[in-house]
Amino acid sequence: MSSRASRPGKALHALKEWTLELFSENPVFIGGLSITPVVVGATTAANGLILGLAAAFLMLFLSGMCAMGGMLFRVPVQKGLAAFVSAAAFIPVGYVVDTFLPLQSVSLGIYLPLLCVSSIVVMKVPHALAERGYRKGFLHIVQNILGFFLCTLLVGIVREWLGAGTIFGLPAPTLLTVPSAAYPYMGFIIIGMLGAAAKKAAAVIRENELLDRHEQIYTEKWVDDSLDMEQPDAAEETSVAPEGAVEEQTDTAPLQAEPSAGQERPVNNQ
Amino acid sequence: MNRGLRKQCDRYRYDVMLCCIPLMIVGFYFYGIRVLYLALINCAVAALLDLIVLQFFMKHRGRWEPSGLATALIITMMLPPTAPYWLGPMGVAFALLVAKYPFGGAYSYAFTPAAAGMAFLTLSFPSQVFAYTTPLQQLAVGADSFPPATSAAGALKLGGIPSFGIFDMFIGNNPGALGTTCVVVLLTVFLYLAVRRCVDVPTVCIFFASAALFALLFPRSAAGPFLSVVYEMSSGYILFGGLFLLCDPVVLPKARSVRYLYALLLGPAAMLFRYNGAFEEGFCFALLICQALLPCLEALVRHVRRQLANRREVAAHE
Repeated sequence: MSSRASRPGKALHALKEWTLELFSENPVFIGGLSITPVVVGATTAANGLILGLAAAFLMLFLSGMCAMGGMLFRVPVQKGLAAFVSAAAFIPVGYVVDTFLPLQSVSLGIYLPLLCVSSIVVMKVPHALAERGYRKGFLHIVQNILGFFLCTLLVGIVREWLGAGTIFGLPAPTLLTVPSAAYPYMGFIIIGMLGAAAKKAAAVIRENELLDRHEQIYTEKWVDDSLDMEQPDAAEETSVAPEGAVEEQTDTAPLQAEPSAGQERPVNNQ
Repeated sequence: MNRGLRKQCDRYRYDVMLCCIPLMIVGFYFYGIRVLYLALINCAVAALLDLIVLQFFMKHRGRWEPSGLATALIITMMLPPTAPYWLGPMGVAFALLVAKYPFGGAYSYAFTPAAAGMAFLTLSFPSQVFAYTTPLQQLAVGADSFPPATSAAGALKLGGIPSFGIFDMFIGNNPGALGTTCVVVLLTVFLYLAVRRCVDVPTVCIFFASAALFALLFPRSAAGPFLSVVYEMSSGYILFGGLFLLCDPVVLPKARSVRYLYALLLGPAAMLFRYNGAFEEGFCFALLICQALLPCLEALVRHVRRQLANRREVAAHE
């Protein structure tokens, strides 16, 4: 294999790393304050879905505003303005949820508008664009959106399944229900367990990739070494080299004396 | 944790399991063989969970230790004799899978697993956890419902006076959890654990004293302050918790001053949860909160000691 990796290989590797970081760098699993809406609000699958979609809309809107405002304002000012911008962006979200999903609106209470000042919306978006540039920063924001969305949906599904034996209101098979699954303490425990499982899965996948890579390197080295050891026999069987020709010397190949004029090269009968 | 401390923890757990036997005998006398089935099922679930976790999840394949069985027996003693058979295993599973193993196993958890399991059961299934019945009846093994009765703690919560006498409360002839009603056996267990040095006697006494002082200053019943103290101390989980949950050697602080501060804080906290909480008994919640505050208490004591040492040095120089 050549020392330069091909471009498609690099892109695939980058995509794999990016996907793994959805779990190991998930903002809910690593950020304490940002889990409050998830812990208290995501008590059912529907609540989790609404929270995830609302956060996605706010973060996308804010990233667009920050990208445009990057030329006008410095980053600390952008972070300060981010809460106002996300509050303005929340107006249509709140209207849609109140009008079309009144039950979920009551159920979520203050934890839906609290997303406007959540650190993953207000801090991460301007920070990501400033630190990584527009392209990579936007990809990082999309990663955070997907991570938050997956997490809130999963936590909502698990809590609804444990607490009521349903998922999105539809009956789901369960042995026993735990009515206190809707309480915040259960939210913390479920998030902790899911976070540990996600990080363990990411670590196992990385470890397997590393082992595969090491195995590949050692296999290539073994093949190279065996080829180098066979080369002296191949050199003895060839005819006399033309005058002026320069022999290529490998690292392990022994130095061969050039036959002088009139002297035949000994033939290896092996 | 070094080997000496591990041995101390294991010895504590074996003694706790031994002390649960006379309490189970009392329970068997008052309620029949159902008590033993409850204990067996809980212990079987704890043993199975320990086996699964040791085989598949613990990297170093650590040796078996008795903390799971001790937790199961403690939870059994804190449940009513009418508890459904699935209730204990749920509490044991929560205690081991949430409070014990994620924090490092049998020698490094931050909260007493049995208290965490009981807190979970109290929050999730309060009607089953506090469903007591009158003693001296042989409970049917397969039955689901039993004639209800109000415990002493329940009567105090409602602002009344328990309908049974002090003598009945001392010998355990009153509705309540399996292992928390017989004061005579609990005091004997206290003596045994004190002789074996499994409990820190000053810590336990400070806890009882602070809880009793709270009950004396703020009596709930109309029977007078001293009787109120007797009723409060001999009902609910105060006695049982002080003996079996307070002195868990993994969680108990090493410094004496921190221990005494912890016990001093826990007594009023347990009584406050009783007085103002949603349930008739809130000892487990108070214990978990005080255990969460232990690092703060240790920092506070270290700070005070440093200040005192500095002042002594300054005084010595002068």
